[in-house]
Amino acid sequence: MGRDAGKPEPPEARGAAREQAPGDHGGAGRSGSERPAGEVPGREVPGSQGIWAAMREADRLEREPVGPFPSWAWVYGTVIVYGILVIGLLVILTRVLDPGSAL
Amino acid sequence: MTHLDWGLFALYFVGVVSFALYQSRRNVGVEGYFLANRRVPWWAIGLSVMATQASAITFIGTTGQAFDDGMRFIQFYLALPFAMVILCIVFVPFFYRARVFTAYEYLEGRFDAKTRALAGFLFLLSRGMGAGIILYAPAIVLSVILGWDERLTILVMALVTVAYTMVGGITAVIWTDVVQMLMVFGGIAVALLALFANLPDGVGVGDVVYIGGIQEMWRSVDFSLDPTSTYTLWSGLLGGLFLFLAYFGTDQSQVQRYLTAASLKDSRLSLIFNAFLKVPMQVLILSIGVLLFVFYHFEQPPLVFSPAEVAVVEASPLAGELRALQEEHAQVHGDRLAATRQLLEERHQGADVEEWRSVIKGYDERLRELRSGAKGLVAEVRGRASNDVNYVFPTYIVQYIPVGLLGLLMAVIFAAAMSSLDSEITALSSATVMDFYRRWFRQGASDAHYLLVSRLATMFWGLFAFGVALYAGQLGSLIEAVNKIGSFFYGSLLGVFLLAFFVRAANGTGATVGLLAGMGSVFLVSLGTEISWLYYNVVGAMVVVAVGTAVSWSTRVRGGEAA
Repeated sequence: MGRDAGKPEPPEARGAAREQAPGDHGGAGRSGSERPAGEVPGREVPGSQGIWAAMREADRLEREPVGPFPSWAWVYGTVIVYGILVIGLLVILTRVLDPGSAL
Repeated sequence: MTHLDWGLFALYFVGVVSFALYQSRRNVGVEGYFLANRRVPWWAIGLSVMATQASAITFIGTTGQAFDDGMRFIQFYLALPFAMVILCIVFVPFFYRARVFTAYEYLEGRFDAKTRALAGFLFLLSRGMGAGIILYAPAIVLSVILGWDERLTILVMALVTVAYTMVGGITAVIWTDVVQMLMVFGGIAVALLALFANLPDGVGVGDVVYIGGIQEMWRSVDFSLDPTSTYTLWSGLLGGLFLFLAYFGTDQSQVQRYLTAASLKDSRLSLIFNAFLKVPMQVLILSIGVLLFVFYHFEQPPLVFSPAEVAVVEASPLAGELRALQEEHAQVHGDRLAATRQLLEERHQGADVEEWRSVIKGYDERLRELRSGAKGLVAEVRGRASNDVNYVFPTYIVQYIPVGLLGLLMAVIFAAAMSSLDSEITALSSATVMDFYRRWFRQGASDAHYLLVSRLATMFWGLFAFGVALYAGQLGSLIEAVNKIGSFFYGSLLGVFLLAFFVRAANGTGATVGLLAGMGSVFLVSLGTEISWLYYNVVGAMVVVAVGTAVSWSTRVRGGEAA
């Protein structure tokens, strides 16, 4: 728990954090109307650099083991297999418990 | 309700409020009030996420729905594990790293102020109404059990919940959710055990399963491709996927949860926790409804469970018709009881019972027709649809649950309601203060000022929910009402976030126009077609992404030409 707290954050996150005044956690200081002229809207915000770049960054930070799983990819794979198994189990239960049921 | 039941019920209230206040003692400032200083452990967030979604509506409406319609509703939840994976990969990292207070704050950074304001406004509108319905559901239980006026019970519950949420903020909300969710797990177990214990001697688990199977009550998966059918595997996987992405990814009541985590990893783990536990929990809750259906093969069920609806028809010129239906209902039930006993006797002897199955199925269908006819009378007299489905489980616990357990189950239903209501009003409060008050009306004030305004906003939304709750009884099945309200906005809100994450060229004008187009298209689809409301989210999200991309591209091209 909290093992990634001390890890370096991506540059855009650090930039966003530095902009915040005490007691101000964003919003007002980053409004579209107050943005310097010529600045591309959203450049400093995660997401504006593209989803795949952001996900590669997230993957780099999250490559550590998660409990018994070697990486997050294993966690996600397990959840997907679980979801498919649940559907399969319900199909079987429907057939077994409702003998008259026509799927 | 005996003294013991009242004692347990009162113990719950005192315990949960004290615990909430104790846990929130270290909260400092607005960040403490809305984000618990970002130090909540993942398992507590996971339980809180679960508790927020599992309201009293889940307990009351879902069991009633399963009593009438079997396990089919489970298909609605089948996409949840897949949605959680997408949320962990796509949504959570963006919100967490942006260090925002609300999901809509992210939209201002990514797009512009008007997109944030519009998204925040839609959230306030839809969830404000949702909070009212959440408040109304347990009031039904109390009105049945105690004979209290629904308005009084709504008021009492709103007061308690608003009080501890106002004082303790999100920390109080999350930690009470943890307690309340554990109580809900216990309540499910108690309800199931009590149902089995109340069955006649000689009727075992196998018999219960068999009787439920006669009417296809265990049928969990429907492969029908009919888009007008609400609960099919496809509507669940496609419509449900979009609904859960929208709910867990763009609804402040959920986003606020995982923003309280100490790390990105903890945020993700809280959602993975839900991916594994949510579907089994819903299976158990729906099973309670199916077991009630079987239980009432052996006990005379009321034709209409809601005493208020019965009273309204009895006081009308249609009272004679209702009495005739009730008499036939009692007679058919008696016939079904005899046939069921005969079937079980022969089944225990290993004989072929196919003929008895057909006979009982015929009785079941006739009873269903009679119930439907009675609901029609209620609708005719009241001028609006019957919501009798929500009275099935409360009626059972009042009449058949033993002393002590009744108070416990009452507390569980209250816990479920309060754990959802507190989450909604704190989310509504955070969006009101952060996305509107601080953004548009009062910038640069002190932390103490924002904290005071946040508490006042919490109180305001509690009052608003109270007002909506007074009219919630006219909305039919509660579980569907909440989801239907959400579906008019959720898909379009999801579309805006998908635009932000996946379309690099998207801009604020595109997002705003896309959002309005998405909502307009959902409105037109709801008026002009019969497709299931679960697909509204798909339509809304797709239209927003398509229109938003086109408008963004168009405005950029025009801007480039102008330059």
